[in-house]
Amino acid sequence: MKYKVILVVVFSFLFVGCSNKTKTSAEIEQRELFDQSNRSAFDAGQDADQLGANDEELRAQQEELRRELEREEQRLLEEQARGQDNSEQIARSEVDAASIRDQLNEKGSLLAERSIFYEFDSSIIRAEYRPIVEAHGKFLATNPEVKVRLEGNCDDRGSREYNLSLGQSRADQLKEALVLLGANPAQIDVVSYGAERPVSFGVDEASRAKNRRSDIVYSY
Amino acid sequence: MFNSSRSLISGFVLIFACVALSTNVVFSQVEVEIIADEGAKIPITIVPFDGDSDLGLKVAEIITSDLLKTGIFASRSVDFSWGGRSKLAPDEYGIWTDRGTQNLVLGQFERGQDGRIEVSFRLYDIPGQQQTIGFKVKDDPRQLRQVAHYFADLIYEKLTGEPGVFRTKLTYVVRSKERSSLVIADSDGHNAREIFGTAEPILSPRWSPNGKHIAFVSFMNRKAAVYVVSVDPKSGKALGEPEIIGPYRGSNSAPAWSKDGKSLALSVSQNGRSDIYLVSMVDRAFRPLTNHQSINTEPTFSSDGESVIFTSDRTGRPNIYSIPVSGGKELRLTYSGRYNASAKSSHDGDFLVLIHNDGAGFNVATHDLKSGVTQILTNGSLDQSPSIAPNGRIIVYASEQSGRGILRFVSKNGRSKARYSGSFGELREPSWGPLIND
Repeated sequence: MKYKVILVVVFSFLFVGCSNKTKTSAEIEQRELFDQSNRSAFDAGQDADQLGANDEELRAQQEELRRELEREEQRLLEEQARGQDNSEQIARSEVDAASIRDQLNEKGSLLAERSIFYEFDSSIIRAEYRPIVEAHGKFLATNPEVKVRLEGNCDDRGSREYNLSLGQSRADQLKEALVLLGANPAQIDVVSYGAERPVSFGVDEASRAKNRRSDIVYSY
Repeated sequence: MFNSSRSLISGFVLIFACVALSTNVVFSQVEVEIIADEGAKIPITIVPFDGDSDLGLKVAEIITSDLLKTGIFASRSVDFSWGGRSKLAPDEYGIWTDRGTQNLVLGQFERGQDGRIEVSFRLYDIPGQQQTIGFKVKDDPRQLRQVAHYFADLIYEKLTGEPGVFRTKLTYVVRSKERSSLVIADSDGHNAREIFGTAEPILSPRWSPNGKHIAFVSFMNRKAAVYVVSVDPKSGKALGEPEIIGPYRGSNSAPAWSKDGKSLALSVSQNGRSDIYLVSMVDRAFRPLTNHQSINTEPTFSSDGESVIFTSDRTGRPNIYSIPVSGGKELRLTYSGRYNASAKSSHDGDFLVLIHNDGAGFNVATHDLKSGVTQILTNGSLDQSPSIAPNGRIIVYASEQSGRGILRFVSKNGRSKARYSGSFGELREPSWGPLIND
């Protein structure tokens, strides 16, 4: 837990360092980040204890997860099958979707930026990406029907398994930041591909830097 | 298939092995090369077997490269004029003494009426002036590599007193653009056969101690999940479809079998941290082992089975730790370098192999658990996933050549290096199978 608090402090510090906002509002947000992170770390610890305590509950949770995955698959299939459907409801949601798409893809906007990049072996969100994270956090807060998937990725150096955990940590910490900025946790799915899905295949630093990233993938 | 052989390695034993043919060999056109052979100890000469010049040379090459990989043999050059001989006359020992070898292998092919081949070899102790092994098998010609590995095991066991590992299996991943194949192959990487294929990446295959199961990681609906597939350790075939373990909320990965094969350790990532859990394969009871706000992954059981060794970045960089399986005090094992990960314990518990970075590349290293000394064995830049042969002599790991993933072997003493590159795709994530008793 101590480790995380340190991360958050560093994170906040970097944020203050580059923010254009006035110092007071930055300070308030800093405090919020700090307090809420503390709480979420504490909650995570409790979850872990409960897992060991109650196997039945866990089995039920697994069943639920499995069902959830099946439902999701079913939903995707149905969506595909409905592809050409022209009902009024779909037409309306298409209008909404179009408006959301326009907002997200507005040229030059922060929302059009969907990737943030990391130092080697780090999941700390660098100061320069703070405005992008803020824009997406606010967007999710004002569009609660929009869902997003955060995909953590790593470069090819080191252990594949460690990188899988590191990618998860990157995406998890991005989720935490988005939630602190007003997004609902239920809007956000988090996955890690570790070093398994590079976008750049070179062995130079510039190429590797492109693979050390979290992608923000919307569905609407 | 070669029953009752180990106890009868002196004298001349005739075995008619009737082997179910392994067909459907997926990958061919492969290469093994001994890159370095420095300072090795036991001098041996393996003469191309008589009776078939191509096959005779091939068998001699396979036996030689098997033995050299251990880092404790030195191959003395082969005199091809000896290719037409399968026996040593009593007055000929002196010739080999002069050539500096101490152990000589001569062999022979004969084709039977039924299309099968009889292959025999004799091992001579040159200083002792005696034949120490004579052995013959009858087999399908397509089993030639297996026959050669078998002979290599017999020679290795006779000369070292340790179990040979050349008939054990490897599992590894062949990744092409559209597909990942989990394969089972011979101990030198050859004869790979797919046991599971998917469009998703596959990571971390691990053999159960009895060789009957392989746990691995793949992705379901974009999330990493742990699967177990049953296999026949002798034929190398899958028995049924993989079964998912859990899934538990978050990213599930890094499976490791306990020594009794009754539980799996794995890593579950969520809420910005990864912790190690133990799952009973008997009743699926699930309990947390580590509880630390950091990455805790790559569990592996210690040689005595009493503790779990794992990778954690709790100090800011990955290092190797251990924790008793019953929980309790965690112990940090590595302190040197910038990055220590992917540890595996040797079977005697004396050392770990791991991936180590000291500022240059990511390399395979041994870490002596008594002295705490880390010794780098390789000089690649992106070595990954080391796995130790069951006798502790050879380490297989994933590496690259001209940007393509290949398997490399390095002896535990660092004196011998070999490589194996398949015909296509990236070779990754090798894991050495257990010794399987005949």
